[in-house]
Amino acid sequence: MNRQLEIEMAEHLDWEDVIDFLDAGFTYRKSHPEHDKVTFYDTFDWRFYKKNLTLSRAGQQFKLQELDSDKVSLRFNWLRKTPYRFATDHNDPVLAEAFAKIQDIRAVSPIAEVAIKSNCCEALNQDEKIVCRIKYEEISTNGEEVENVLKIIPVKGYDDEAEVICKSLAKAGLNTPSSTPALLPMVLEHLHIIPGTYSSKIKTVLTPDMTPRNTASLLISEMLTVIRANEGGIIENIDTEFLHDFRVSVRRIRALISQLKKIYPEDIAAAIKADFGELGKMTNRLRDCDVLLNARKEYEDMLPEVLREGLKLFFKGIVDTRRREMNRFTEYLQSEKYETKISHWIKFVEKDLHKDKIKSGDKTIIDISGKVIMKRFGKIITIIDSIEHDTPDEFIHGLRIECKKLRYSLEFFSSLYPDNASEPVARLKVIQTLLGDFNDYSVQIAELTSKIDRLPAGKGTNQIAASLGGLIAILGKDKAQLRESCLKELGKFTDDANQLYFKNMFTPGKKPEEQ
Amino acid sequence: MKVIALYSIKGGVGKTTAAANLAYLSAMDYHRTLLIDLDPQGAASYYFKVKPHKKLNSKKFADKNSIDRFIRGSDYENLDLLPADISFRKLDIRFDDSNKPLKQLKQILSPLKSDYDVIILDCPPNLTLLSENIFEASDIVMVPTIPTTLSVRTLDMLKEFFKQHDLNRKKIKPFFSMLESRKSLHKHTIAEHLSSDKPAFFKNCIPYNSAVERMGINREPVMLTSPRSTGAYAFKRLWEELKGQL
Repeated sequence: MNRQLEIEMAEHLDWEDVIDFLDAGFTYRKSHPEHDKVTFYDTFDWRFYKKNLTLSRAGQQFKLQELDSDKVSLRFNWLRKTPYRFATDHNDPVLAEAFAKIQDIRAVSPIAEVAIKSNCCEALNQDEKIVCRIKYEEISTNGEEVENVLKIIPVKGYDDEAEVICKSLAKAGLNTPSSTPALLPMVLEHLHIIPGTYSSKIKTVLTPDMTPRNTASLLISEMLTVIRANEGGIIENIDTEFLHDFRVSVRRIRALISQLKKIYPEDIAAAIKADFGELGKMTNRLRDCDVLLNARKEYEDMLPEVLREGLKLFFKGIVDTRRREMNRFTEYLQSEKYETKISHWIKFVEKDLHKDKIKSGDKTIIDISGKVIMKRFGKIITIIDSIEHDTPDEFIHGLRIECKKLRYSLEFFSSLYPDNASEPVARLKVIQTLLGDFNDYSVQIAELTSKIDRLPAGKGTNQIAASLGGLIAILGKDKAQLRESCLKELGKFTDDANQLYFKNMFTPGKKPEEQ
Repeated sequence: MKVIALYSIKGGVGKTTAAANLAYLSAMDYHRTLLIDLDPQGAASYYFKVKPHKKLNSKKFADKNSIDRFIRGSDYENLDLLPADISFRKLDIRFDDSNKPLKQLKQILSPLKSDYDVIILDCPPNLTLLSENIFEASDIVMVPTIPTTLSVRTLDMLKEFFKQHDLNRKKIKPFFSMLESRKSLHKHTIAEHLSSDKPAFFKNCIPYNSAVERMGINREPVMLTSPRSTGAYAFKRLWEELKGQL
């Protein structure tokens, strides 16, 4: 019995009753009640919870545990004045790597806090050595009781003694339940927080008989929810993924309007495209800064020590630019102008959702979705066929845009197809990661080159130019390798077998059950 | 995991009090700490009121697969103890019977890597096969040294032993123990050895202190029974210095 045991506490009993029931073979030392505060942390998209983990802090100590276990898998002390947020905040490389696997580049923030009043009693043997602790915890959150827990905590190596104490409690009717509920889910339920609800992925399930306009309004409504959900995180500057998810939803809305043509009156479609296009443009520079800053460590590792000083100066400039861009954008996010626009589109799609009634002979979404997907897939095949060894990189970028459009189409409509069209979606994801990296390298090289061109004469200029020059050379080499990998994967994606798969799956007019 | 041995060829130099107090301070600093009492006299175990498991003996100790079941929790968070058994006096014979007699202790400790950040060994005095195992298994060999000519001489003997057996002499980290500042011999010895050209000694010394002496009666670390005593302060400073070297 190395682990602690929780005992089911009868409602009519209190702590003093428990003491009376304890085995007389030990002496007991009661201590004054202790008051602790435990704060639970997670990322905005619940990465810890989704991996069945909890990250909690009591005082200066953080503990990483499995959700339903008292066994601590990792612990660390946080003595700095600034709160722990990112995996990269760890000085210890082992901790940094372990936490990066869970939270990646997302920040953690407090999600719930509990107050624990602990009454503790120590059981001592004849040598006056503590052999077992009996703890009665009164757990509350926001001043309201969550649960009272009686715990038997054996001291390592003294299992027999703990067994005797458990038996004495069992005699009094206090037994160990077969399973004990984990604390965090209980607290969240108490606070009416449903964990894991946020996801930037499209979850809307479509039915084949929906009208295209209803489909569009439903999907836009979901994307607006994601936009709304990320505003706070951008304003509070929690991490870069808030802006990323915000921008993805903005782009998806524009892509949907482009793909489902003539579903809204022309003026409305144009207004949606204009409003969300503006939001995209407004955040381009800010996102570029985020991409560069997220790659900071990677850059530092690429360069020899002697060139790192210049890189520091370069990143100082990027941090300043980001701050300016961030101020500008957060000011806009909190403006009446932005609020009016977003509220307008939220109301618009809400009203529009059930307006459009299907009439006999009208096309439903299943008639259109296949066409859209096949058109996108066809475009990719055409570009791939035209690519030669010496085709300029611009074509690869064109290909990336087309792949992105296809991916959006698949994401919008996958729920209409068997197995949610998971196979092409998964394959495209691999390609897009490669193409995305290729694009990031291109953007970074362009950004670094233009930065060299724009460097003002003065102190540190040569140092920065040398560092950036070194980086451009390394990135250029990696980019060339990536190009080969991209083309190889794309070749597989557009081979005869996959073309046949697409044809069978998405040919317009076929009903999903026939496919 | 770092292994720190409290070792001296001489007895009665303050090994056990240092091992017990440093182990406690390590645990209070949130390091998962295990104190292993290798001295069959079991003084460190006595300080923490821990008796060995009935089935613990030198044979079971030498079996790396069963060591965990003999570890017992102390009264303090993050601090566990492997108490000594009188049969530990036969550890030399046990180790000598094995294939790699010098690496036995290292092998015994290896399964504990994931469970503990710091292991502190309270070692018996003398220079035997067990001592050689301790030197192999430890990252730091802390040597409490009374500031007298004889004690310093035994320290030199230890260094010579390391040299002859091609052991890493950098592991040896002596510190002055049971210092009585009113004794001129102590003062002179310290002044001589703590000068800048002899940096091997820890800068912080442990004074002769009645509060430390009373640990045998109180059976608790000195930081708990006499937190304001010079002994408690000295161990805290020594721990800070040691921590910087881990």
